[in-house]
Parts: sequence; structure tokens; C-alpha cells
Amino acid sequence: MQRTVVRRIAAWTVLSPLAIGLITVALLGATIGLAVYSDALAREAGTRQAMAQAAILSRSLTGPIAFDDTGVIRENIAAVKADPAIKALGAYNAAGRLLAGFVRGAEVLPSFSRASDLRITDGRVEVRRAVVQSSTTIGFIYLASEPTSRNQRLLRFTGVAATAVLATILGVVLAASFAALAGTNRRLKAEIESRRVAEEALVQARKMEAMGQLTGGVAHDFNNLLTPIVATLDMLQRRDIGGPRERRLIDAAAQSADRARLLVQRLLAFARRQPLQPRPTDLAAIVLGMQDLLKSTLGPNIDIDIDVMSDLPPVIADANQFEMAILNLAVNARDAMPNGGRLTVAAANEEVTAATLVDLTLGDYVRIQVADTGTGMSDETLARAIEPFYSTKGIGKGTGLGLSMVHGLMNQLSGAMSIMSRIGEGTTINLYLPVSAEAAQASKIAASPKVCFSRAYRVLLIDDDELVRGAIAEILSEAGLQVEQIRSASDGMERLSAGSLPDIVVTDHLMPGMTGADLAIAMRESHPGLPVIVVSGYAENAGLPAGLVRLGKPVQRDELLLTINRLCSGDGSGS
Amino acid sequence: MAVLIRRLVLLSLAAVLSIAGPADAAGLEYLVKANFLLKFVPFVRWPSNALPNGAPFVLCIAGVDPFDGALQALAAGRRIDDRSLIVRTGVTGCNMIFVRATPALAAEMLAETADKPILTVVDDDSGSGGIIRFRLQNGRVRFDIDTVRAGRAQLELSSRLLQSAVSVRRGDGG
Repeated sequence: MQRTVVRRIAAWTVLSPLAIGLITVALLGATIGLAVYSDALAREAGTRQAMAQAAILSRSLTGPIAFDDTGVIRENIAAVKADPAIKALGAYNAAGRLLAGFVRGAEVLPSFSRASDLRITDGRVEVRRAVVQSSTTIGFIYLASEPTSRNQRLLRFTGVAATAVLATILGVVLAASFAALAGTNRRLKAEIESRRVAEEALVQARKMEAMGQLTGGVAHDFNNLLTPIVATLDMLQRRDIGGPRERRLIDAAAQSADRARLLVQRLLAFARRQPLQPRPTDLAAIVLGMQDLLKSTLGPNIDIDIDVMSDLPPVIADANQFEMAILNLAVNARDAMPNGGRLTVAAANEEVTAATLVDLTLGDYVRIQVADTGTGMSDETLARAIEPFYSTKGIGKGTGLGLSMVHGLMNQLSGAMSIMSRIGEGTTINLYLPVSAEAAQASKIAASPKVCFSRAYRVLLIDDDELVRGAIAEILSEAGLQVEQIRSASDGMERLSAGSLPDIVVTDHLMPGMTGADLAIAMRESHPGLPVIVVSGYAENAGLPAGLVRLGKPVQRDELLLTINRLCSGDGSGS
Repeated sequence: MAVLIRRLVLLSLAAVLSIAGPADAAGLEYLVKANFLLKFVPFVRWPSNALPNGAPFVLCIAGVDPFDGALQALAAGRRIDDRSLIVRTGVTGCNMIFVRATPALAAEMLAETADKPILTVVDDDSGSGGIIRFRLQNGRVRFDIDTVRAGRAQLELSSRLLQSAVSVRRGDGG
């Protein structure tokens, strides 16, 4: 109902300027036409009247003219003189001699009249009429008449002009009022639209809040329940309890428990409950440092365009989680561009004002934009994009937690995420992070970053479990790295002392003989500066010395690659 | 005294007509009368048998001719309804007769024309026997009309002519 009214008003406001213009022009035309027509009518009537008067005079003056009865002629003429329109009147005998007549103003009676004729000039009629009796011309009548005086005509056309002016003023006033109405209507529509958007955003925010609380609560409790399960399974694994069959069952249970732990972590991230280390961070360095990783993740069909402002201020963020977020968005973008396309990652200052369409405290932010040229999302998909477990990638292909995690992260960092997408036009995701008052902690990006993720970057991979080692090696090879696989830590030490040095060492922790941690400590002595990543199970952290770069089991592709990327870029000390 | 007034009036008439002619007052009077005679014709309708097609219109002067050739001069070359106009003396074969004579003689002449389709005009001092009779009024040449005689003569007089007459004798019962 309301919309119908609004639409009708809109239709009116579109029609009205044209309608008003046409009506005004029609009104003007009609008025002018009427004036001209009535002027012509008045002239015609005046002409007819003058001719009739001349005819009447010629009949009534026939005898008096014939017999020089000037008294009668004068009486008749005096009677006609009462008509102010008649400017001159003369009665002539057959010889053309004036018998009687009168003139007004500057009129002059012609000295003679030869023939009957009619002369009509501008507003003036002259009649010369023969006075005839039985086809004998007795004399002539001359009559000059101005049926419509100058004043009358002036008055008539002044009236027209006044009407025209009034019509124009009316048109202008109507147009102005319609314009005002249209403006009000536009504001009203804008207000309705903005209210609708705000209401939708509120509903969405409440929904996410409810989901976050539920998810967070479940994940938190589930995590507490999971901890003893994982610890117990780990203990059973370390003690080599049972025969080979039992150990396989224990390994399978441990793997499932690890996956459950990972899931719980993601849910916690969405629920904004993951442990974070927010600190002033140089986003430009992080984004630029991810260039190689993004290239290898996206593949050759997708161009990458990185546009980072050179003087980007530091923001409050957790660098590791931020990298994870960018990688997540990049993977989504890749999946949206199966036939290739372009991914743009841009970062710039943005002052959030009341006009910015994100729900943020006003202030200075850095906006990181990740835009693809992919398939885009429908409105329905867009509305549910950040819901956990909502995925368009098909069962088994995605967790449905990527955007949820990014959203949770941004909220936890007092930032925000906005998604703009349209089917066929790609998707643009904006991340807002608050600018830090403090300077970023010393950026450890090398002046000229090494080229990671190429065959020239060699990884020494040490793990006693052939299956695990093979899986990790595949992740690394897929990312474009050159992988050398070693079965034990002691073999690894031997390999390091002989032959060329790798660029990085990735080692399992618990191995027969020398552990990964021992290897890392030994390498600090023998090969200082060579980065080491130790992969350890959940319950093994207690025995690890501080300062080691550690990854949890099972190894996650993104996590592993990001860690390598960070170390490759020079942050050898770990985080 | 009367003669003096008459002369003054005629002088003023001469000024009105401004027709070149003798400065003689009597001459001017008859100049006007000659004009009137010719002007009467369009106002009168003769029965068709009185004016056959192609026949000339004959204006006769009976008795004394006072015009001194002025009437002939005015009539020269003039046509009446595509008829030629003949001015002559005598009383026979006329369509119109101007009579100037003593009243007795005039009555005698008019008796002959009575009941014939002839427009008879008598001068102001020649009795009262004609259809039209000149008279001088306020020093101007005017005329009286007798429609009874006109009816007897089967002549139709235009009402405009009657309007210009000083007095009209109307027919019914008279």
C-alpha cells in the first residue's frame, strides 16, 4: 500500500514537468489565438457595420442628395455622428461635390469620390458608396470608420499579455511545487531504503550474535571435553600400548580428535573467542609478503594486483590470523573464478564517517579490499555468506567457515567486514581494522624479500612416519617448493653437515632417537639463521623449549605455508 | 424686398451648385430647376407601354422656355435607362412635360395630358395642375407632389421623392 502510493507519486512527478509545460503552452496558444480571432471578428463586424451604415445612408439620402436638401442630409449625418467609431462621413452629389459631412481629429474628407469601393487598412474601414436611383447615380457617400479603436485593441492585447504572464507564472509555480514534491519523495524513498537496510543489518547482526553465542558456547565446552580425549590418545600413542591393530585404532582416534580440535578452533574464531595477540601491525608488509603465496595458491590463470598505500599507518591486529583471513578470502576468490580472472588486494586509509556503510565506531581505519572478477553471489547467498557451515562449494569441498572466521576475527579486532557482490560481477570484500596509535613493531621484512614458493626454495622435510611425510611433501610441492625428504633427525643432521644447505627445515617432533626439538636446538649451534619449523601434537607442547617455531598436528596447509612464508620473508624468530 | 431676398437666396444656391453659368439670379433658379427636372426621372416609374424598348425619353417644354438652353445643355449626351434623352418644346409625344405659362393656359395644356402616362411638372407661378409643382421655400427650390394625379397617369413615384417634397397630396379619398 505504502509502496503503491510512493510509486504513484513518483509517476506524477515524472509526468508533471512535461504536462505543466504542455498545459502552459496550450493555455498561451489558446489565449493568443482567441485574442487574434476576436480581433479579426471585431474588424469583420466593424467592416460589416460600416458597410451597412453606408448602405442605409445612401438609401435615406437618395432624395435629399438628388434635390440638394442639405438640411435633411445634415440631420442624417448628425444622427450617424453619434457613433464614435465613425471618423469621417461625407455626402456628395453626382458631380462629386461635397454636400455635407463631418470629420473627427485629423481626418480629411476626399474632395471627390469616383466609384464604390471598400478599403480596409489596419483597424480602419473606408467605404465609398454610390447613391443610385433606378440605375442613375445620384451621388456618393464616403464613410471612414475605425470600429476598434487603438485603445480597445491595446486593451485586448494587454489582456492577452496579462493572461500569458499569469499562465507562465502558474506554470512555474506548479513546476516548482512539483519539483519540491519530487525532492521530498526522493528523500522519503531514500529514508525508507536506508531504514530497510538498517533493519536488515540489525536482524543480520542479531542473528550472527545469537549464532556466535551458541557456537562459541558449544565450541568452548566441546574444547574442554576434547582436551582430555586428545591428551589421553596422545599418551597412549607415546607409550606404544597394544598390538599393531590397537595402535592403528588409537592413531585413527587421535586423527579424528585432531580434526575435532581444528573445527573447534575455527568455531571459536567465528565466535570471537580465539586467543589473539592484537598488537600494532604493518599490514602493508604482511600483504606484500604474501604476494608469492597468493600466486601459488591462486594458480596461473588468475592475475594478482596488489595495491597497497606506501604510508599505511599501523593497525591493531593479530598478524597470523590476519594472514589466514587474507588467504581464506583468496581461496574463496579462486573458487569463484574457475576460468581465471583477476584478484585485487588493496589497502588504504579510510576515515569511517556516518556515511560509511559499515557498523563501526567513527574514526581512522585501514581498509583492506579483496576483490575478484568471479561469478559473484546472489542476494540470498550474500545474506547468509558469513553464517557458519553455509557453503556453496558442495559437500566436502569447503568447511563453510572461511567467511565466518574472517568476520569473527574482524569483530574481535574491533574492525568490520563488508561484502559487496552481484551475480556475474564478482565479489568485493572490505576489511576494516582500526589504526593504532603506536608504531608497528619493527617490521622484519628484508629489504629485498627472497623469492619463496619456487623450485629455488628448498625444504628439508624430516618425519619418521612415511604417510605423514608424504602428505606434507605433497602440500609443499604443490605450493611450488623443492622438497627433500629425510626419515630421522640424526639423518637430518648428517644431511646438513654434508651437501648444500636447504632454505628451511620442517621436522616432526616425536621420532625414534633424536626429537625434532633436539634437532632444532642442535641446528641453532651448527647452522644459526637456518629456520626450523617443528610439527608437534597437541599434548607435546609442554616439553618444547621456548623460541621454537611450532605447528600443531595435523599440519594444515594454510598454516604451514603461511609460516614458511613468514620465515622466508625473514621473521626467523617465530611468533 | 421679396425680390432682394430671392436674389440673395439664389446667390447662395449658385454657390452650392457652383455650376458655371450666368450670374443672373433668374438664370441660376432655372439652372437648379433644370437639374431637378432631370433628377426627377429616376424616381418615377412609367408603365411599360408608355416607354417601349429602345424608344427615347422625351422631355417637353411647354409654354415659355425659361432655361435659355441650360436644360438642353444638361441633357446633352445623358441617357436615361439606356434611352437617349430628347428635350424639345411642345406637348405631344412627351414622357414628361415642364409647363411654364399663366395658370389658365397651363391648366388648358395639362388638361390634354391628364390620364396619360406623362410626368407633368409645373413652375411655381403656373398654377397647380401638374403632378409635381416647383415652389420656392426659404429661398430654395423645392417641390410639391400630387400623388392622385400621378396615380391617374399610372406613374409610380418613389417614396424617396415623396420624402423630399415639401407637401404631398395623397390619393385616398382626395
